[in-house]
Amino acid sequence: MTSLSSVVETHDHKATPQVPLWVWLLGPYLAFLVLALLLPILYLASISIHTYSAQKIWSDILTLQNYAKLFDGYYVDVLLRTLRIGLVTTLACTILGAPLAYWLGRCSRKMLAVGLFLIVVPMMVSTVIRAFGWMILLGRNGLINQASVQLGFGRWLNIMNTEPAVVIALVQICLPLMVLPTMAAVEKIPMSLEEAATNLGAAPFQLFRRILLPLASPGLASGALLSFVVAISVVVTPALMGGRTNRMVGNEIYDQVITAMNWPFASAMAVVLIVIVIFLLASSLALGRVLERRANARHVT
Amino acid sequence: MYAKSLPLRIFVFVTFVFLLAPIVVVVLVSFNPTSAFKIPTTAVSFKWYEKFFSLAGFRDSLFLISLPVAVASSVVATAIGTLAATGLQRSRIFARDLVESFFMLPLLIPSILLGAALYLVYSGMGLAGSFWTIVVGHSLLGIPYVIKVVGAGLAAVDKRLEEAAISLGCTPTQAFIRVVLPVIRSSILSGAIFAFIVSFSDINLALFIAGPKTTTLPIHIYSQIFWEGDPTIAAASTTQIFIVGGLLLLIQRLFNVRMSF
Repeated sequence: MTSLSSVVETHDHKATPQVPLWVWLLGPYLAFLVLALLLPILYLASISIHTYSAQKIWSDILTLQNYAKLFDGYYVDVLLRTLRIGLVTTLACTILGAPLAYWLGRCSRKMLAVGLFLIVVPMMVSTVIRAFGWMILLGRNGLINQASVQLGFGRWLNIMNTEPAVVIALVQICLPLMVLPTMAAVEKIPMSLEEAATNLGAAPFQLFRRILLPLASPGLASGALLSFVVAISVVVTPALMGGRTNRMVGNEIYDQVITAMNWPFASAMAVVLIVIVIFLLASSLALGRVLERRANARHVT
Repeated sequence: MYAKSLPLRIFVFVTFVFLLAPIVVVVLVSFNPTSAFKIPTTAVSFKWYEKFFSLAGFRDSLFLISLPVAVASSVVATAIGTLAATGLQRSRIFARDLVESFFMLPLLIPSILLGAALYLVYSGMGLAGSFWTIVVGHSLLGIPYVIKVVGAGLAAVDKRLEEAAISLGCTPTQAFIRVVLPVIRSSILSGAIFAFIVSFSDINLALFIAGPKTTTLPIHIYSQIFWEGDPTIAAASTTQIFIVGGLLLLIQRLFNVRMSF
């Protein structure tokens, strides 16, 4: 053994690189992140304080006019609608997702493989295809109304181009984002803890309220964050499900960038969205620390 | 403890029906013989697939844009992501947790914001709508997946294998390339497939940065829905669903049951 370890040492002496290894490994991605993500977003933010000009798209004159325009009644409505849809979607995802996550975290390995596959496939299929599926189902001449007519109940379903239609499609999009982190948190809760609580007389609701909910809350919190961020920044789903009357911030940004070519105003709306996302990320990091500490404290006691 | 209780099972079943409904419906409608959006009850027809492959707009968006973009993005994301995952795992770096969350940024930044920002930059440079600009954006979306999957693979490698290789005369770099890389081959392949899928089904980024000559399949489907087309849209969508589903099945075989989430 001594001769082998001396071989290792000689190699260590030879291999003293001038550039630290992590630069080669992490450098490419860091450079990519800065060039293709951070700088473009800073560029966008800088355009938001320039004046719109019909000839050059934006001129050098600095202004806050683009942000003032956001306080117009129409844009306030759009922003409030976006936040409301995001909130309702996140709430619905929590209610639907928590039981599903519990089941996945506790079922057999075989069922878990099937269940995960059935969650990840819908998650990975393009959102435009899923909106299209909902249109086929829920439309005026959609499958539900077709079946209803054949059964003699008439065309009662008239949900397309309403806010609930947008929410239905968004819940389907965000549900996997809620379930996956929550499932990971449930898996970490030892089964013995549930058995002990039940043996000591905890009813199912008490078990849920006192044991499962506090211990799974870090997973629920990150799931809720992901769902909300995704739900407030969609374009295709409200365009297809909500019609002209249920437009969200994403639709306005898209139209201002591509159709109206008013980049300064589009950038101002984008900056508002970024600020909301950063605020949520920061508060969730803080909340996550608190929840983790509380969960650990519970584990110890 | 309550995983086997009947009410929970019913709830889970209904939730799965909700989750799968829009996708199953699209698949079924694509096989119906009429031009209405109906579920076929008497006869099954492949005519919408024939039409899908005969229309240049659909065919080109799949074979000339979406598939090549996804392959290129996957290669770029896998190369950069594998390096970064190795770096996170192996080098002593300051505030690793913070760096790790920073590396997940493309997942947390809404992709429409990234799309809008990249579009403004590309337009300023006169590059908007070109093939490689989409690849840059899609690689960025894929890298976090590669880092997660490859990172999980690296964490599971037995350290003693590498130590043995080094004590038998390999340099650390040789030991990594000849011993560790073959062991994590399947995680790297899974990461590559994830990056491929993310690019292949993206619409939020492509909505901004794809040009008239680089229309991806989801973008083409989107515009056809607005023109109220026929079930050819369903056939195109089903093609995408089967490609994505097949690849995910492959990942599950390659990697493990948990799929690294």
